[in-house]
Amino acid sequence: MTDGSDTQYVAYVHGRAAALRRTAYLLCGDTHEADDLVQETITKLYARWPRISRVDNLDGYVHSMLVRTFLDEKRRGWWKVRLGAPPDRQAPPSAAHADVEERTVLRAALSKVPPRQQAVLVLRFLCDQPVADVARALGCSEGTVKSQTARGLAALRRLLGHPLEIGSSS
Amino acid sequence: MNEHTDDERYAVALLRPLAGEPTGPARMDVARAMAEGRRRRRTRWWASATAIVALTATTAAGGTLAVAALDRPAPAPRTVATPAPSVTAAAPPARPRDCRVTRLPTDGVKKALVTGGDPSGRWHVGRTYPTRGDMSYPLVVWRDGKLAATVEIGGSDQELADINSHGVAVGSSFVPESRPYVYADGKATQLKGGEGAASAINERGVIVGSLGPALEGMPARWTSRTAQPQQLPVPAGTQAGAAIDIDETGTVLGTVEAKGKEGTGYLWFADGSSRKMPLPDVDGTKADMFWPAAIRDGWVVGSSVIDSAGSRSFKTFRYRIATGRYERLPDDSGRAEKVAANGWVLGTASLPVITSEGGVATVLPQYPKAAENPNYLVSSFSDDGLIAAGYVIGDDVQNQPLLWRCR
Repeated sequence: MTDGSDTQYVAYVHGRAAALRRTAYLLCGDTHEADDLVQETITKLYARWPRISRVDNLDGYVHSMLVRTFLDEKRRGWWKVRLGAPPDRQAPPSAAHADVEERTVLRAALSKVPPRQQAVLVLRFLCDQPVADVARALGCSEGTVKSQTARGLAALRRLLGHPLEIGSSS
Repeated sequence: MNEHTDDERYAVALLRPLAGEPTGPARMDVARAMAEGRRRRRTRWWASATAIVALTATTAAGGTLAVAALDRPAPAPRTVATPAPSVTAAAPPARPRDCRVTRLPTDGVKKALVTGGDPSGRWHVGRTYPTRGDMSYPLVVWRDGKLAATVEIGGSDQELADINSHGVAVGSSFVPESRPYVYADGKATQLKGGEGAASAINERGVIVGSLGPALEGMPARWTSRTAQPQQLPVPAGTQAGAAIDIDETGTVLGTVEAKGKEGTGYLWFADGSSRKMPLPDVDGTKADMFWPAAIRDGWVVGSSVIDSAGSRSFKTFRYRIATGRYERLPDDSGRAEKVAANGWVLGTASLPVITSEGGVATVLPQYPKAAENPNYLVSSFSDDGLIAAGYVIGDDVQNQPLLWRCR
């Protein structure tokens, strides 16, 4: 019997940890929540590891698991957002004040957009992923990604009270 | 590569302030993920036809990992076990003879596995692994040992878990949640009811499985492939469960998990009644759990689980619903996976083993081209107890889909 499985799992998880944490952070905007998402993702990964460890490229699958975990968490916590509880978040100390405020307002608005649309917006425009990759991560068609993008953007604009022109950024 | 429209440029600019890195050290805890993942795996691997190897790993005090085969008998079995002497039978006791193994064809794909089969032994289902770099797999149907169909179900980590003699198969795919599927007349369609998984189908087309997230769902039944699912009744306080197999009389075999505990065997009958399976007695000790594997013609096979300080032991049992009696099978039988209508049991030790009446174990031949350190897993057994299917995985990590035929 190969000793493989667990050793390979540990090596894989350590190799991918930073990238997973970064994506998780961009999805949820909170370091602690990002850590929780990563923890749940690697737990699910281990539960399935004997079945999936022997494929050539796991990254897409694990990325999809992370996004799915994010959506699950959002679904469970959706009522909190609806009740308007502000996300408790700490900005990096070095950030300038205006940036902090902009980020806070933006993150609050984004958190009010339906979870799948949040995921689509973050993956496409913050993680710069092609439509096809986002579709694979969410397990939907490219057409759905596009329509969710349009709806998510419209919702975000509405929430921010933005006009339609291209927004200026810091 | 990304060509943005004005709208998209707007979006990139709009969201840019949210770009950034998480602060502070990561709180990721790999050991905890493995401990929790292992708990979830235990509730899954025995219910899954595609579990590759049942492994347990324990974190020793020093933090090192000890990995060991969970319940495979340590000594290598004899090539052919000696039949137990029979005084009553004038004729030699019936047992499988002249068993031969062949690799099922995969149209050039090197890696594939068998995940289920029908009671006639003519139909088998499996999964292939072409190198296309994602987690999406073409599923396959074999008829009489020949490739009959390739089934593309969207999503990832797809599997067909069972097929009946009409060629109707059931399974699941992650899209991204797990969804139950049925394959019939050349077409795969999602079963009703949303998130869930289908694990077995009988000759009448009744399908069983679970509804809800993988590992955390509840047992369910679809009376036909177009029907709405029915939740199967579970005792109060059940946190999760799954139906894993169904008999021709409609008796459903599964497990239910009480809060904070692991699953144990449960039966749902066609008349609407249901009950927890009794716990077998192992050398004078009542088992902590019974983990059922399969049901056929009133027979149930599975493993007793006994936990003691620091270890967990398994014994293989066959249970007769009509009499409510457990019969312990010899250790040579390996871990039971399937039972035939004639009561013979298909299990795995170092090699697949068929246990016929009187506890006579017949070890199936190894696949000559298997790589070093092979692990055999079986997932299908015909009603006459003469055709078995499964796969072998060795150091080359290439799964070889295999079919054994005996006379």
